[in-house]
Amino acid sequence: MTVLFFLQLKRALKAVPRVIAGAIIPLLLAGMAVFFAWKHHVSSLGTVLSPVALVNQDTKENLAMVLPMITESEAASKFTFLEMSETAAMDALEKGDVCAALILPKDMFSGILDSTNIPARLYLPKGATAPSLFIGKYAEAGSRTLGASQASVYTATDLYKAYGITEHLSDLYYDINTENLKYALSRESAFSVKSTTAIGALSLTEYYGCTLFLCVLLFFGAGMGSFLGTPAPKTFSDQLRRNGMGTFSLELSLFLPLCLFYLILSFFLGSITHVLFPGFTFTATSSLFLVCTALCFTAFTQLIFSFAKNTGHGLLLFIFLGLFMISIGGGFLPYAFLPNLCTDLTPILPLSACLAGLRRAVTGALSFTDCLLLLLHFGVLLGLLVLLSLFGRKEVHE
Amino acid sequence: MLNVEHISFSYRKKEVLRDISFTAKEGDFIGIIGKNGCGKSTLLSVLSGVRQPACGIVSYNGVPLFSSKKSICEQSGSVSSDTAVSACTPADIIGYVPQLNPLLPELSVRDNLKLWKRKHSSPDIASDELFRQLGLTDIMHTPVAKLSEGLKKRVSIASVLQNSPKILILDEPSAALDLPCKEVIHNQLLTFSKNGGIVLFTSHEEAEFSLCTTLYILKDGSLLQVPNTSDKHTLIQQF
Repeated sequence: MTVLFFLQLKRALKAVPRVIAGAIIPLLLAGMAVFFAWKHHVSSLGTVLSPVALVNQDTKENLAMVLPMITESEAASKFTFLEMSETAAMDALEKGDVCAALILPKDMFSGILDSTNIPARLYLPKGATAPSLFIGKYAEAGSRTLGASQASVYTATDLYKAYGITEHLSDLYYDINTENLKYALSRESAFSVKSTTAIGALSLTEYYGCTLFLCVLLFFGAGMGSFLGTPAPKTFSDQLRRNGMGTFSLELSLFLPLCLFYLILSFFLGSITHVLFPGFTFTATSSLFLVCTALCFTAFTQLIFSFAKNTGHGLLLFIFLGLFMISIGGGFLPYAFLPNLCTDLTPILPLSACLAGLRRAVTGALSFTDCLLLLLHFGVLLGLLVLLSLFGRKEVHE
Repeated sequence: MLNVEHISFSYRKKEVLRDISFTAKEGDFIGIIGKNGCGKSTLLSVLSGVRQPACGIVSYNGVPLFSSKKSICEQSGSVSSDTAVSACTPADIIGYVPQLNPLLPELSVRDNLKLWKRKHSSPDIASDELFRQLGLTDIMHTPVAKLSEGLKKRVSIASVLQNSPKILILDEPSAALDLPCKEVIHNQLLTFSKNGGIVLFTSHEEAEFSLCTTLYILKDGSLLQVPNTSDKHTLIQQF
């Protein structure tokens, strides 16, 4: 058994150059996928300004006075206001060229001051998108702020009248209004603008770095798995059995070198991660996490290649399932762009759980629970492997 | 003395070997011939312990090696008339060279020989002599993948003979090999036989029949003894 183990280890070492050569092209493809996902993500973060049609039926002077109050707030910075006719605004709204149409009626601004309150109208398309809903809520908040301002102005007016100071009232309106607006509630109180992204606390580099970590393990593992994990020729396993080494010994002799390979690779990648992302440090928990990752990958690799009919079939299945699990774990597109089901599936898929744990490790939020989850996955995979070895391991009939 | 008694074997409902019995004494060189697919390889795999017979028993010097249940040598408290034999496992007594070489191609000849070396094998000096006779000394560090089929077969035979078995079972040892390679293998088998070993092999090579002390034809699952001096046409008629 010891001889077999060391010879399998020797085989594994001899296979390393082949494994590296075999992993280069898939890794380049995976790198490209990660790069394009990153690019897509970056473009989605830099949101294009959403246009809002503005129909001004009042005087240009009034509009020039009030419009900066709306457009210069941070909450409205994602909108661009395009002045156009009412017909053009409605057409643009129907076509989806604008996310809303705001109609400022004639005498609206003087109405605010003299309490006639001619309302502005905001048109939103059916099935409004996020920008449309946002501008709607923004308008509501603006109205509330304006309402509060008006109440102050009218109160001041009534007080001036009650104290008989009416001769300078018209001159004071402007001052009252200006002062009031100065103290008015910030419109941002309705829209607290915070920087948040679909990838949470991670930077983009960290996020896709974690994906690349798993892809490297996957593609290097595919090469080594196809080499070590492929069922032994029947004559070979027959001879082993005759020599007192049963299925368990054979599986173990394959498992140990494969596990050693994954351990070395995991810690090597862990070191690179530590250098690139200082959030990842080698603590007892993070080291245990890397060990658990290696164990999970080993059991997964051996299970897939044991189950497969032949090496080619095993490779396809291994890479397909691996990439599938990485994708479910938000490896290429963040959860925000994926169905909610993916979030639910992540803890129950071994490689997805590895990815989620790795992200936490990079942000320094890794806990022992993450390691336990991976150990549980390892246990399940190992159990399946044992069952397959006992009842159904395929042997190659040459 | 090898005793094969009432061996039967079936692949599901298809009976391949039917009540096969024969004996072989030390120095015997037994050839088994037959049509393709008649069950020659199955018979050898049963005799070597790879497959379990449906019924029957294989014993050596009175010590049962395999039966329809399991290797009796491995059963505790088995009754034995030969204590030296009963201390060994069937794999110590029977060396089996399958038709396809059970070698790891990425590893060197030395590593492959080490893989199949058993605890109670020949001393290193005897093994070195064996490897020299088989022409393996110069290729010990060559990966098996780079060897010709003939050399691979020699490595397979050496991996078995280094353990000094009493019985050597070979499945078509010289199939698709060139003449010099066949010659080396034949000489080695004859040496083994002269030293008191029992050789049991299957073959389609007419030239090998003359090496045999006993020749059997496997037909319809049964073993029929034929004179090894029979000519080709007589043998074909018996197939």
